[in-house]
Formats: sequence, C-alpha cells, structure tokens
Amino acid sequence: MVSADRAVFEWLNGLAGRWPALDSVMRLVVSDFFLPVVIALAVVMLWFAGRSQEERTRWQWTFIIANGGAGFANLAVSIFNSNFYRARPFIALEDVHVLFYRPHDPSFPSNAAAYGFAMATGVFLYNKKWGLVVGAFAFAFAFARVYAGMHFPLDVIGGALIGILVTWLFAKVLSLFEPFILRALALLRRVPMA
Amino acid sequence: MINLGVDYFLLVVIAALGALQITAASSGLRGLWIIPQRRAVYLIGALLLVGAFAWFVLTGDTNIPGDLGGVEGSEQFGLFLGGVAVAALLTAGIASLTQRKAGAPPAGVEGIEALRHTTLAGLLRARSMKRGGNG
Repeated sequence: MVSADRAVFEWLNGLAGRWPALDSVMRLVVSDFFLPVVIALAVVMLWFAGRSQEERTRWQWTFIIANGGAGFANLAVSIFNSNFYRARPFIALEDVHVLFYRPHDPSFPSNAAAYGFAMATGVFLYNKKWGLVVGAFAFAFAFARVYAGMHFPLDVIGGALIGILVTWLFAKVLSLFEPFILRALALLRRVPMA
Repeated sequence: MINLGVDYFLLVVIAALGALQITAASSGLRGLWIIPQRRAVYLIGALLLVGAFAWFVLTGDTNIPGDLGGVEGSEQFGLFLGGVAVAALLTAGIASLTQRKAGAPPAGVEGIEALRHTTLAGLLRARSMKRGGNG
C-alpha cells in the first residue's frame, strides 16, 4: 500500500515543473490563503443565508456542525501527529518538485484535507448541492497538496476520512442537544446576532 | 505587500464584505444592502470578493512559513474571525447610513430576520422607542 502510495505520488508530483502556467495555478490552489479562506467564508455566510427564519435556523445549524466538525477534526489530527510521525515527501524522497514552503509537521494525516472535508461534510449533511460545491473546493485543495509535494496521497485520504468521520460523529452527538442549541440561537436573536 | 498578517486581515475584511453583500441580496436582507438596489448589491459584492483575492494574490509571494514572517494557523484563525466581525459591523454601519429612513420591523420579528425590513440602526432605534414607551 505504501509503495502504491509512493508511486501515485511520484506520478502526480512528476507533473509539477512541466507546465509553468499549471504550476502557477497550483501554487494559488495550494496556498493557505486561498481555498481555506473561500471555504471558511462560504460556511460563515450560511449564518446569514435563508429566506425565512426557519430556513436560516437550518443554515445556522449547518454552520455550527461544519465549524465544530472542522475544529474537532483538527484536534484529532494534532493528537494523531503527536503520536505518529511520517516524513513529508520532500524529506523522504529525492527529486520532489516543491511548489510551497516546507512545513515541519508530520505528513500523515493531512490537516488541510481534514479541515476541507470536515467543512464539506458539515454542509453536505444538510444541503447536498452546497456540500458538493464545498467538497469540490476541499478536493482541489487536497489534490494540490500532493501535486505541490506537500503530502503523499494516503496523507490526504487519511485526513479526508478523519474530517468526514469526526464531523458525522459531531453532528450525531450535537443532535442530542438540539433543544439547547435552538434555545441559544433564540437568545442570540434578541441581540440581534442570529 | 505591507505585512502578510495585515494583508491577510484586509483580504478577509474585503472578501467578507463582498460575500455578505451577495448573501444579503440572495436572502432578501435589505437592511444589510449598502445600496438599496438588489442587482447593484450583487455586482458590488462580486467585485469586492474577486477584487480582494486578486489584490492579495498579485501583491506578492504569500507562501511563507510562519517562522519566516508568514501567518501561523492559530494566528490565521484569529485574524479570520476578527476580519469577519469587522466586515459584519462595517456592512451594518454603512447600510444604516445609506438607508437612514428605514423604519421599525413588524412586531415579533427579531434577529437577522428583522434585517429584511429594517437596518441595524433602525432596529436599535425601534427597540429604544419601545422601551421608552413601556417605561
């Protein structure tokens, strides 16, 4: 499995450096300041979305699930990182095309993939269409991390699975507290913040 | 580029202003429109959103690690939250200025839903009048 992971990485990362225009696009897509901001803004705007109070409350619930899921997914990744070390491709292999700065944290699992897929799952659970849109951004972000030499494919697959599972679990647990959350939203409406 | 942290904060503020305009236009939240005309609101929102990212990308190299002048993950999170809060306050403030004649929302309508009928200033004004009337 690890050798297949390495082979897929070498094929994908081997595409880097061939076409300067594609590399420029990937440098943008892999950036910490582009797709993560787009995804976060898309989810934040859910707080204000909806053409009625009922619809807005549903979107605000989605906002809480997506952000809470992403927060717990990042926590799960950091716990994983403190107990398991896998070297980044540019450390483990030679001749890696690196299109990004060289992070020091472990390669597996990818925090970037965990974040993106946690947000996408949070939205998907309540709105399939918008969930798929956010999922496409998360996929592009994860793909670019491999293309740019930051992660092996298994790192982003592992991160994505953590993001999806943790958010799904978070949604299940939070649904047990739905009356309290709805009461908190009603209180925020008086401020008026919800 | 001034400083990556400052530039990032400005990116979030301007992009969030744009995203808020688009969301307010599609949700009918007239009290958040900085211009009382739906199509213009969509256009301004799109320009702010695309313009913010274009400016940020074109100002210089942003792929800098945290220990070499970049922005660490936790700092990025804080700047994002602050940027969105500033954008929301700016939106509500500008909309209150451009729609000074906004009246009170219908009885029983509160929260963001009230911004379909009035601005934040209009809502606060209506509340203080109601309190004054009750007292």
